[in-house]
Amino acid sequence: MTILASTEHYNWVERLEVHSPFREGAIGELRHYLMCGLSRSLPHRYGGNIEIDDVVQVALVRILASLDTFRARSRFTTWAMAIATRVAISELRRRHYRDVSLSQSSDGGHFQISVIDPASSVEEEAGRRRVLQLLQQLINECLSEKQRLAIQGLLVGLPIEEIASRLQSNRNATYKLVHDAKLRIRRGFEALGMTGDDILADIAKRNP
Amino acid sequence: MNITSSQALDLLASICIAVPDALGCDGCFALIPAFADAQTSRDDLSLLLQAVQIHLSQCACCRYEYETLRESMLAAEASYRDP
Repeated sequence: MTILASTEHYNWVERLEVHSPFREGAIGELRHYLMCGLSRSLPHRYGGNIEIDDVVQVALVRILASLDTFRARSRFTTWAMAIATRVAISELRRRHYRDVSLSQSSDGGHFQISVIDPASSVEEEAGRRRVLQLLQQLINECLSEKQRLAIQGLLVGLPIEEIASRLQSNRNATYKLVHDAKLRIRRGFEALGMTGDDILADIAKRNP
Repeated sequence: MNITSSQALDLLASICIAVPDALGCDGCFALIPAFADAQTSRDDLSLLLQAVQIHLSQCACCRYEYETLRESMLAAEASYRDP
């Protein structure tokens, strides 16, 4: 990993430290930098329904509280922008998906799916039905109840972070839960003699 | 539950491309600034940063944040160059 030769990050950290005489100026400069970036990127993310000033304020508090965790693996401004981006997107996601529930799509723990849009051909319909029946069977037989719920969340379009909040878990643990579920399903397909290419070919037989 | 064929296809595609991921979201977040800088300067990725790439290919949540971060960085840098 490249450790930047520039002293740019040392200047930022030193200037932002509690007893630095340059702290207020550095905070103002960092605020301006974050505002410039986020005011361009956020308006078209999840509808952009957020006050950039508020996001930057929360991000600054988090950045200042985390200064001692900065390891100079990147430019300081990139590190700070990553924190601000996480703050903003997490809040936008929370607002965007607040009315989407996991339990609404639950059916007593048994997972059943049906595709509502019509297939474009008899061949496509047959392939799709075959794959989806196997998928449903593998989900019911190979996954834990928590993994089934998480997969339901994925199917209704919830991001992992939002699935985590509904499972009262955290994002990292939920990602691993879902990832393990996917690997289990794939191994299940493989045990039935279907490779990833077979699966995609069966489900995507449309518009040849 | 009722789904569309594109929802089914998305799930199946993500199952088909799943490969072991050593990082997870926390590991990715710790390395994403270095990854973003390396991409900006077109540096070759170290093995550690290649792991970020593997995670991003499988995690839509982190990928979306990374795209937002990149756009934010470019806008902020442009603003600094041309105030």
